[in-house]
Amino acid sequence: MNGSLVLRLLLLFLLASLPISVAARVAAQEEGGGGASALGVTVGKLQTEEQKRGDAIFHKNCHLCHIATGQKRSLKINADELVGLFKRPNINEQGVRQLIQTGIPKRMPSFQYNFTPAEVDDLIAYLKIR
Amino acid sequence: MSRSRVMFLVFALASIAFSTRLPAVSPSAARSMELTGTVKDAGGKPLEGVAVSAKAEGSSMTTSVWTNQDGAFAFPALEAGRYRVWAQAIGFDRPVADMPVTPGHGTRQDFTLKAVEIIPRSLSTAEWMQSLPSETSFDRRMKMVVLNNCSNCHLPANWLEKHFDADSWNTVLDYMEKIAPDGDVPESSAGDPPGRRAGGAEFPKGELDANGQPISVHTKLMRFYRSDLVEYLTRVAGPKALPLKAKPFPRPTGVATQIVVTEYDLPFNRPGGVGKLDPGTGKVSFLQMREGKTIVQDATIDARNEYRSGSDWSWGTRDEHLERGTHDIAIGVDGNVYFGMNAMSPDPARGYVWYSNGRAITRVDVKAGALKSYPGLRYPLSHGTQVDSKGNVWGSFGLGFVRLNVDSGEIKEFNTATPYSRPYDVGVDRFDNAWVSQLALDRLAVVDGKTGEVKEVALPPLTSPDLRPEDLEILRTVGSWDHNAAPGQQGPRRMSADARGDYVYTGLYWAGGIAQIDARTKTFVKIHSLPELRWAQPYKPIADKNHMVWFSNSAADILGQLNPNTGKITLYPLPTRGTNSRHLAVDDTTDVPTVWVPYTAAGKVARVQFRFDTSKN
Repeated sequence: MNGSLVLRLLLLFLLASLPISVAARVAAQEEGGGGASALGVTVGKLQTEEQKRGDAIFHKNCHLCHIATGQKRSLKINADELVGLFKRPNINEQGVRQLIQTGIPKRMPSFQYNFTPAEVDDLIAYLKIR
Repeated sequence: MSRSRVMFLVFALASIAFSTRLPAVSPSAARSMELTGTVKDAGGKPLEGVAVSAKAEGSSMTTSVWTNQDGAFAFPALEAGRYRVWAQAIGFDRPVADMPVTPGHGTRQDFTLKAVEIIPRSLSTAEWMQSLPSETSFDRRMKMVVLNNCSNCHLPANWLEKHFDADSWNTVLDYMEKIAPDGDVPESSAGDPPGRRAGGAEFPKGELDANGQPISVHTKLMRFYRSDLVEYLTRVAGPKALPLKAKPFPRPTGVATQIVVTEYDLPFNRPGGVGKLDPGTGKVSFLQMREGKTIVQDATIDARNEYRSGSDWSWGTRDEHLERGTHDIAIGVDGNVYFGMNAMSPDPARGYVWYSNGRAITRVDVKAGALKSYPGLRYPLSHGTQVDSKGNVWGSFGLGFVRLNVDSGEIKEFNTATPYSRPYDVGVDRFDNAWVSQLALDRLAVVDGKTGEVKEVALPPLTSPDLRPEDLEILRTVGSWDHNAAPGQQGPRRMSADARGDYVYTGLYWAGGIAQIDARTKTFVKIHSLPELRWAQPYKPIADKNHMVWFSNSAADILGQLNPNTGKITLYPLPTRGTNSRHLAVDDTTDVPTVWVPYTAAGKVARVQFRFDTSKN
């Protein structure tokens, strides 16, 4: 079993395990907020331009699956919010970069034709503080 | 330095710091001397219709003006502060200047814009849609299919910039088949309809949607068009995407440049309840009912990530509600902007703002600063409220209309003549007839204010030589609902009646245009449109005190004005890309009516002021 397959299986497992507390918080905000159907979550403070650009790229490309909502929970669309991704065991930058490129068949689209190398760098910089 | 001088200096510095953090906003749009200049191209030629925007350091408000035919611009009076100022037009670079502004002192800032290749993602959705290939009948048809199946949840400018292969597009559509049918009209304010075409027969039993529920309109349309969509998307937004021949709208000219737009950042974190924005200071608070009492909480407006603000068009369009803007707004008699709830409308005669709140209709008593709820709805309202001349509140819901008698609290239902017609928005004309737009039927329903009789007014069908027999068949047998529509549907989504005039208006969401209906005769009059509106998804139309009809456009960053006397349509630019502006409010208390535009897909509300008499336009 090679390294990338291990990483894929691990991420599949992570995708299937929803961070309940975050989802519940978002759902609670939705009920009280009026008019918002999908919300960002609080992440580490954006300090560098790279992180700010990465934040924008994430919220234009990744949010539909990687920000949980009450609706997604009820439909069993399991959203890993990727909070603290790089603090998790067995997660490394090379593997994340590769997953962004390849996607996961029938689970996550492949972004190999989407981002410039600089945009992937920005996205990684953001994911490191998310 | 003496102690008193030090104290004075500290006080002065503190005053400047405070005023920089929270400047007041000029209520007047008149040209002032504080910040003026010209914009020219690299050859020295003046450029008309260039947006010039200014934001003070620490401020939550951005002011924008546009250059005239001489390339000149002049801001209204600005508070003291250090300002970031930028000039922007599609096809040019975006120079940014930084300068102090002092009231009473003229500051001149000229810009030279260098021509650059158009960045596709700087186009609005409507511009991008009109730039897509149109040479073949299949391509022209697929533009309709894309708009009618993808745009309501995801502004195409957001995802047309992506490049996916067929497998990835299929994965995306798998998720859409789960999300789109979620909900249950009329039990919910949105979601899947009963398993039948609006006004038609039930679908055969047995076929299930992706959530294991009986199939309905959303899923039927997505499945019918899926293979064509994947083929088309893989071509125009695939690994080898076609080079785009960008067709941006022309830059504004003439009176369309004579506006001042003030954009107010809204707080991202909100305590809940109905929001209240003070246009003089930009401060925001929220009103909420707790244990029978109204409590008011101030909200902090934290600085946003500018790459996500839409102020730099080269960063393109974001997706829907993520930026925590607001869908609905209403202007209170205190001049404040109320926002953030569903089905909002003002009642200036009585000093209320109404909105829907689950199975209740709730009002803000603006002068008292108090909320009051009227429970008892059998189903939640869908998307509109409006008062009649007696102060009764009308609302639209999944089966038709409701009318709340505010004195007695009684709620009466009126069903539409055609069942399951997707009554969407509501308006009340000057004869106290109540109207609803029937999104799925291309008709409006009206309750006669005197007799209670309900009838329907049909809009003419959308015809196109590019529609195939199978499209017309799916239109006939499946039709449309909130998120998906067969091509050929007009899509009367939002509407209102001119409360002082003779006409009712509705924005044609799928076809592009504003339909005009005569309230006296209850007959269709005309569809008003322009080529730019075809893909702009005109949304909420509201008539001002001069009968001018203002309308938002969810897929184009423009505000429209229809002069129903002449049929002239004027398009005014908004300075943010990807606004997804859907609702609207008109403030008739200013000499020239002021129009307020909420952004659903950017965390802002815009005030649009005019430097000329719009009633003569």
